[in-house]
Amino acid sequence: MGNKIEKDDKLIIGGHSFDSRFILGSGKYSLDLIQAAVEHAGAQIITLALRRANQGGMANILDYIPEGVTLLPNTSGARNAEEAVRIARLSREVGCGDFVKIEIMRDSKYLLPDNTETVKATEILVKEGFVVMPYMYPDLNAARDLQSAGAATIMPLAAPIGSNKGLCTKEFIQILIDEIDLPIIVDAGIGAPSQACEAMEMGAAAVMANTAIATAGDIIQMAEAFRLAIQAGRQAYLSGLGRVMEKGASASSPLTGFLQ
Amino acid sequence: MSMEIKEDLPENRINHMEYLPGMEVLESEVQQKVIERMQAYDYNKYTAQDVKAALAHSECTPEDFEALLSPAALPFLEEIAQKAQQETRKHFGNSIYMFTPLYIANYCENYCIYCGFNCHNKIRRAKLNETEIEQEMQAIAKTGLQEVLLLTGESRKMSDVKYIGEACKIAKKYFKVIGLEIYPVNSDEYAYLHQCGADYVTVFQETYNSDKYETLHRAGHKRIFPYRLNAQERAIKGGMRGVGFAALLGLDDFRKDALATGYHAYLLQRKYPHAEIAFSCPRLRPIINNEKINPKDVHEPQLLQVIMAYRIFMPFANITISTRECERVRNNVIKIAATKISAGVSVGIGEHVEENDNVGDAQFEISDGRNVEEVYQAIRNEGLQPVMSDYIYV
Amino acid sequence: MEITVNGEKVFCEEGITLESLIVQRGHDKRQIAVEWNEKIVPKQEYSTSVIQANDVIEIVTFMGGG
Repeated sequence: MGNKIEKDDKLIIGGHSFDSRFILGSGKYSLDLIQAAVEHAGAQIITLALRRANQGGMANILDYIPEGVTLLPNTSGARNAEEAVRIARLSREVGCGDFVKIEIMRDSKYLLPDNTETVKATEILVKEGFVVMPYMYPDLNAARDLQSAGAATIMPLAAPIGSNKGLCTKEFIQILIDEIDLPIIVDAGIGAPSQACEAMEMGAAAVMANTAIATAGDIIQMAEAFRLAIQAGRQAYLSGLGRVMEKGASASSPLTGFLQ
Repeated sequence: MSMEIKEDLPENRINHMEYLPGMEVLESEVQQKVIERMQAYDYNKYTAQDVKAALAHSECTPEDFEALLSPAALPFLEEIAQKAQQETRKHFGNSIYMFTPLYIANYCENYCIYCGFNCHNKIRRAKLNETEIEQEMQAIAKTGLQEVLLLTGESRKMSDVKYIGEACKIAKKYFKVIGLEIYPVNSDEYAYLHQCGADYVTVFQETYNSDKYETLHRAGHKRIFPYRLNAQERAIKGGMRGVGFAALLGLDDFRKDALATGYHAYLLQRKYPHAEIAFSCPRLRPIINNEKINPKDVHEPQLLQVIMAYRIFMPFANITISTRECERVRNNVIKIAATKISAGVSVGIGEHVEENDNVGDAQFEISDGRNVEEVYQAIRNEGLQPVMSDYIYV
Repeated sequence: MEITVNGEKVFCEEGITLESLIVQRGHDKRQIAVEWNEKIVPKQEYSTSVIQANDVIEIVTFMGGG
């Protein structure tokens, strides 16, 4: 049984199919850099936030996002399920599709997600036909609840948002990858392409990053570096890592010598 | 054997895939997934490379499990044993749980051609009454055991749910852990038996190949393949704390049956993460009045291969090593992968109390007749810790 | 008459529709969503929604976010 690289290795989210496994966050950029970042990242999904519209025909981010890219509005700013549901409904009303990334924070210092409220919001929004992608703290029980609530993916955090600290929660994300039959998308805290690559090698279905690219010295080069790292990690995962025995075969048979 | 049995002619048998009246039907995808995976399992395609890769992985995937069950894994039994031992110690430390089975009846309505209890077999039938059950249990409890596995033949008429429930209530007075190995029942009946004190349900599927199953289980409710296969899920829904799985290795292609057994447990564990999982690993043994069946290809190395594959695939599962195996095999398998062993075993009826006249014949011949003290010492001699119970009924 | 738009008190003419308010404020209606007295208004109803005094209106759009 060879582990061939799948030619048509697609990321499937809520029935939609994607070639790219890099989800790009659109925060902290100047608008004129967004298009180039999306293109060099090869991203097919980009996250957005919903805010009050300023008066007077100012530039809108929607004008800078290349056509064909799937928009993934988040519910940032929500502090509980009710607020997240309200933001999700308004986002859908703008008219850019049914995807929503649930983000609920009760903590303004670390911005850690509230899993309990996130499960509640997921239950409601799935029933309303949304493709729900919940951002969460990597807890197996909460992930199972999200799965049974009908989430399309699970998006565990690697480290606090914007911290660029990398895979601090590695062991727990691995448990989700092993136990949950949904795409696991590592979100938040990924600060360098090597960390994105490692997440993909572990079997993550995709990586989401924002700050690491938006704050890089050269945004375009960093977007491309992430794209390549994510591809490399995916390919390594599909090739099957760790195929070397830790110990060689022992000459004697201390445990199985009894067999007749 | 009887001269003429109606169901020996295939056209006289009922449809084994169709539920009988009164049998609860679960809306569950588990059976289909298990059968599909088993049918697709081509064990000859796996190579030594796949086996080494499976051993190198920290998490054993279903594909790895398939590699470990393949013929390509046989040359690596020692390496697999090292890994299995590590996994066992990681999850169980040095504990080996002790229990004994108690057969309270051997009436059976089924015609399963390989089984000593089958309804056409001319054996002494018996069913213990409540007093006799209590006497047997007192005798067992005196040996220090705290876990008992209650067995009946599969006769709803002779050993109804109420009768089994009463036996559980008596058992509760003497034991901390009560397991059941009885005919499959509906989830509300499992709930009732749980209320009466039972916490674990083991059902042997025998073989997951329904075509083969049909030829072996010719009459009786046991013939209904899907009702049996879904018993563990009904037991979990009924509130049982744990469920046990087994194929009788050697009835059919043992690699496919072992794959199906493991994958069945795997799917239920993922669907009901709170449920405890256990495996038994019986292979065919000679039985009274039947010379026809030959255990075929499950020799000791293959048996050990299956047990170790179960261990590595589901490192947290209890694995019981049967008294169908001899002392030498049992003493060694608890060093590697098994975590549970029976002692002071009688597979007949009413044999724990000497003055009892109400006795019935045994289901099969056992190969390890050691009493509780002997098994206890054997466990100690291997540097392991015999545990009678570490569990509280809730 | 006085209404509240995005948390601010503003004055507007009597009988104005949501559609006109949006145009006056310079929004592209393809890029926004509107909540009118805590209810979401579908885009096709903007032109028939007549605003009353003291109504509370939220006009939202997307911006960059992770």
